[in-house]
Amino acid sequence: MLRLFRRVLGKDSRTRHYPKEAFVPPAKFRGRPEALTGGCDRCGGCATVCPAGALALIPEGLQLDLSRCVFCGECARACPEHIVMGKEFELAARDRGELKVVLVHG
Amino acid sequence: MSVDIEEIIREAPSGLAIRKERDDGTVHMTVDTEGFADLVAYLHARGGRLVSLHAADRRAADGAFTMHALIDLGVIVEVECAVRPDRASFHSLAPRVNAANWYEREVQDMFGLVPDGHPDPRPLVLYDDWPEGIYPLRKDFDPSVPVPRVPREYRFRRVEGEGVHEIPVGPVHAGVIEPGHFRFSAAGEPIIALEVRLGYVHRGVEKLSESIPYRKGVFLAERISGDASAAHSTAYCQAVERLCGAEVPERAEYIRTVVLEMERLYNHIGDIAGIALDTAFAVPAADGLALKERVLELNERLTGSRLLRSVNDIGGVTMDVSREEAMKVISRLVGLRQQFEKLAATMFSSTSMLDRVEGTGRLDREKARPLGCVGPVARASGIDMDARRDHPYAAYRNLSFRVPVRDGGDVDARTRVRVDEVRESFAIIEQALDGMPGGPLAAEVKEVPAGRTAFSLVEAPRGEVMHWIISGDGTPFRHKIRDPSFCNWLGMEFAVRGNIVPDFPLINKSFGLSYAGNDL
Repeated sequence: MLRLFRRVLGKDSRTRHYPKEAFVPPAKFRGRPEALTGGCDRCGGCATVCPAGALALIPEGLQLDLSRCVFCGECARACPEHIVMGKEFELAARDRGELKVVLVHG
Repeated sequence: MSVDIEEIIREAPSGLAIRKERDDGTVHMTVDTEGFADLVAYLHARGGRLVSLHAADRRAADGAFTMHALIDLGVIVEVECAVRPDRASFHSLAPRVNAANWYEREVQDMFGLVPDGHPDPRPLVLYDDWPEGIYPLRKDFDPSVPVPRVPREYRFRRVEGEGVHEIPVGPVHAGVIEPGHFRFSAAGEPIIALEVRLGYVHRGVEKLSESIPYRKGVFLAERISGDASAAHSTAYCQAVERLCGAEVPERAEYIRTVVLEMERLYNHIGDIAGIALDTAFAVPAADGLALKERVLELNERLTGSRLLRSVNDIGGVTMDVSREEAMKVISRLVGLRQQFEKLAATMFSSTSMLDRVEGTGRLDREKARPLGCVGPVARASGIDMDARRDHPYAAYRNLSFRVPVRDGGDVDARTRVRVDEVRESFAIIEQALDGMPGGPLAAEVKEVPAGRTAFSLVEAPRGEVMHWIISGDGTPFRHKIRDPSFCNWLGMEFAVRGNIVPDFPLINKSFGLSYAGNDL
């Protein structure tokens, strides 16, 4: 009986008590793309490389459609001065429109 | 397999065969339409394994379709012939080369070329209500135009007899994993026959690829079969790299190797846990899934992605593994290895588990070979093959590993092969991380020249993956993808015969095939 308890208590568990226990993403984790401050010259390079067609230049800035984003990191690779893959992953919304966010620079 | 390829080719049946050597060491032979089937059947009879059989639409440039057969004789031989559009048919290889079966049905569906003499000319990929005369991979098919639906029913093979029941399972079934239909004929519990019908997750990947520039194509390749992202993207990148003669730097080859083996680890551990689950052996099932989770977490630490995405690029890799990271991974692997050995010991310690898996779902070598099976399924049926050893790529040439082969052909053998492969993967990862050379992460790739053909073979966890590309103008002109599952699904139809219906999920799990990889 004691052996059974010891075996059970010594078991590895990967269960985390999210959301009570926060999930801390590792360093290389690719969350929501974010704008870094500084002058974006609207070259559109990020939108061109995006394999999911999630980025578009609009008058207000750079529009990111989170319903299309696959978090591949290409935009940040193409433009490391102005885009970085953040750590935000709690991105659910009740309305599709809310998934279109605008990244504004500076 | 030491084979005198020159002798084999010299003794080939005569036809108008023009032969040339390609840069990648493959032998390319062009033959007339009439001689195609005979030449391929001859190479198969001389011990060649059919790697793929597919077509391309070259009517715009050359006025004809082309058929391509890739045969593995140690050296890969590609046989090509033209098929004139007014004839739109070819001699079926299926009666002589059983492995050609599904390939020819796929060519018929996608290109409208009829395999004369094929014993089973029913549609394979196209839906029940797809109209006749519309062939999606022809260049004149416009995917943006809706296709009119024609109600029709797929004719399943029937088994007649007193007391014979037909049991349809799926496409949405108990595991709710991927959709696929299994039509059983059973008399009581024992299965008399099974027909597998897939295609429910056909997404048109090959057609899509024709309009996607190479860099973006890497992301498409990653998503062909979600748990084979590294394998498919590596095969795609390697094919494109061969098209433009790019030399991948050594460091990138090593990083690719580590990532490919991490993929093998989490897949196999998950499959082993799945076997435990399907035999209701809850303790190793839970332990196995927890161990798989630890590997996925390690993947995320190493690459930012649990499923190892965004690592590959044309010319190399996008991210580095520092010496510090490498040492951390090696030390974590020590603990994972110990846990794995405990898992394996528990698995095989239970006589009731062994009773379920021994002798169940037997696929003999005599069936597996002609069907062209690959991967752990083939290796558990006595077929000694592994692309990492037979057609080395990435850093495998420099690393030491064994290829486990067993001949039981049952669920037990397929599980034990995976256990053995996990042990080899741990060793490969450690060697690769320890011996990683310095240098750049990617070669600079400028343009991919049009009009070239190249392919790549990669040993994914399920077996050999093939990507074959004719380059077009900035995108693939024709991209043939062949997932290992396409080769192995028919093996299921034989493996279940004589087994009881409740053993079907277990046998299916032991094959561990991808529906999405098969369907594309």
